[in-house]
Amino acid sequence: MNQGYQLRETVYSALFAALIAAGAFIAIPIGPVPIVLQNLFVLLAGLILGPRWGLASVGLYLLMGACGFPVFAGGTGGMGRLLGPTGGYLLGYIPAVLVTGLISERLGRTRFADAAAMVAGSLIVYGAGVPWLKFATNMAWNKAVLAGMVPFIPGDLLKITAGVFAAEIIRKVIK
Amino acid sequence: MGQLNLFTYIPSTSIAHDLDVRCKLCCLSLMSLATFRGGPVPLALITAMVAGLLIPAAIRPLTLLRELKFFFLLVAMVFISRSVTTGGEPMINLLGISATKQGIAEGALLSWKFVLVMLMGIVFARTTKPSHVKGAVQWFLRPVPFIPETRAAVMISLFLRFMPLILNQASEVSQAQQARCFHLEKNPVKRLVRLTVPLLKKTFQSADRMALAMEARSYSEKRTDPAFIRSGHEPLTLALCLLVLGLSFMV
Amino acid sequence: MRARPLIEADQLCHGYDSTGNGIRKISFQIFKGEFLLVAGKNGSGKSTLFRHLNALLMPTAGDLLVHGRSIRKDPLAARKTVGLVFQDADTQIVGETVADDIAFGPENLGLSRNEIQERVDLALDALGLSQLQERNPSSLSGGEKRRLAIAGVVAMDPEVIVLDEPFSNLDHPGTLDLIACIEKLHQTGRTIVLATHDIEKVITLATRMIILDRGSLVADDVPQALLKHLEQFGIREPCASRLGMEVQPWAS
Repeated sequence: MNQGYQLRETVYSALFAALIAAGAFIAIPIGPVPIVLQNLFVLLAGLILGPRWGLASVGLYLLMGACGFPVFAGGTGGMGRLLGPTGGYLLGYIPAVLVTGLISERLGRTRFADAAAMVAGSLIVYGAGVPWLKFATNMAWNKAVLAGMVPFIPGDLLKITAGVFAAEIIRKVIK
Repeated sequence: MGQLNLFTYIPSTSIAHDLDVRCKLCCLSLMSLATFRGGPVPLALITAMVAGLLIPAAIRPLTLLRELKFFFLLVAMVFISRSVTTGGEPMINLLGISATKQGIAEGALLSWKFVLVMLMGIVFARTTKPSHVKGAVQWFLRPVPFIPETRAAVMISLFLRFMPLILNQASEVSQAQQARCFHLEKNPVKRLVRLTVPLLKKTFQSADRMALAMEARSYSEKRTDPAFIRSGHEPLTLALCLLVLGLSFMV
Repeated sequence: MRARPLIEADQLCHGYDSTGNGIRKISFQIFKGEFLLVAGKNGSGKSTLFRHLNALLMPTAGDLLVHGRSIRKDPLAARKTVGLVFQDADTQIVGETVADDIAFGPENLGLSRNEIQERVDLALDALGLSQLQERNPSSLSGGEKRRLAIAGVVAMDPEVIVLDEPFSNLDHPGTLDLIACIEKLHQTGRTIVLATHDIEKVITLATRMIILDRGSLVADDVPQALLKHLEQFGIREPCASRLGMEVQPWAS
């Protein structure tokens, strides 16, 4: 049934939005910087739901945040956070999930394609977040990169590796 | 989010509570815009208004500091960075880095703006029922093409249901693994996979059951429209917010 | 002569295979006002059967008629007549508050706001949830959640309420409250179909019992007559019956 299919996608999409939100609160203590799962779930939304429904997930997440629900890191919400110094990372999720979804859809669902899609998605998040941070704080470019990107790269590489396996397993579960 | 915090709706009958939620959302956007645009004078005005709304809520300053500590840390970073990178006459000199008078003024203003918008968000969240937010979103999305507004509203409900469910399941998964000494595992990729995969599997199964249960309850996107409650103060409030916005562009 | 049955299953089959999933050639009738107990161990096909009653699954062979009409031809009518309450309450609650969740079904039917409010109030009252109507569902106890799930179905005003394992994971007070609510629903004229592998709790309320085993219907009679045949199908016989006594109501 077509309606049943659409209902399932709707529910999945809402689920991923909630996972992205919950991901800000689920941390795994590895190394000096704890690994937060939020951006992993953004990328997985692109891989598992595809660009269209993935975009719906991220859009819903940001909408909930903008309406004041405490879904951003640290249990805060509201436009203040979205337009604040780290708002660029959050808004960067929109193009990131689109591109991740598109690449994995075009290249086929292989491990290599998934990894490439997630690398591209992560780069887009920084591409939006770091300049935003630079202009909000008036930092020099090199300092903004040093503060807003470098410390997170090892964690991102781990997350992308884990994401490849997770996407493979979850696709089998929901098909 | 499962637990109560600053952003949780608290039932009451203040002016902010009784305002039509659509008007409240408009005011929130107008005031946020005014805050980011405005100089010291409009900011002082907005601060007085926000304070007037916050004081009846009786939030202890200490609670505010504790719950927003990460946010305040960020704001402090903005302040420091602004004060040392803006050119002008030096005021304080510490370890060869000097903060300028202009920088401190500019940093303080910007930080104050961030804090104000955050406080407005808290006022909105504390005085608005989640289901009313959902209704307002549906109403505002109606003229937007390509976005089915009833589906968006249902997704908001589902989102709010899934959040606590996911956090519960995440702590269940991680506790079950700790009981089997999984925290001794050194391979970080393994640790990530072993947490995320069971969590995703479990929540996707929940989502499947949810979809089935919704179908059993005759889920349809042609649903009854949300109801809105008006207090009668809407035109006045909206006019006031527009005035403040106008002021922020002029002063 | 009895009246026409509300629900009639005729040689109903669904995806039966050698692994024992699905159901096979089930025929029975449900009449208005009955309290039908569906007994059987896990995997006997109870849930699969129930999903047909609500037209969530379509038969692969045979047919199921609701009010004399096939669910294949008119699934929506079946869904309006039969309300299905699933086992896991957490994944069928949709709303932000108790009252919002109860309104979800009536909203799907496109009823007017006034009528929805009336139905929500009735359902809150019937399930004893009036005090909790503004609460967030995730803050409710297990028993309260289960009653909320039933209220969400009651608000759609179905003639038949189908309950799949309503007592699983409930504590004793929660179970007692729930039994009282179900009894009240039955007394106020609803037809009840209830599946459980723990029949002791409701056997005195039931007017009839069917037993499913590996996807087939193996018995259909008044509950008292089937007591001695339960254990051969992996269902626990009520204690009193084992000791040769009359079974007393679980909640008095």
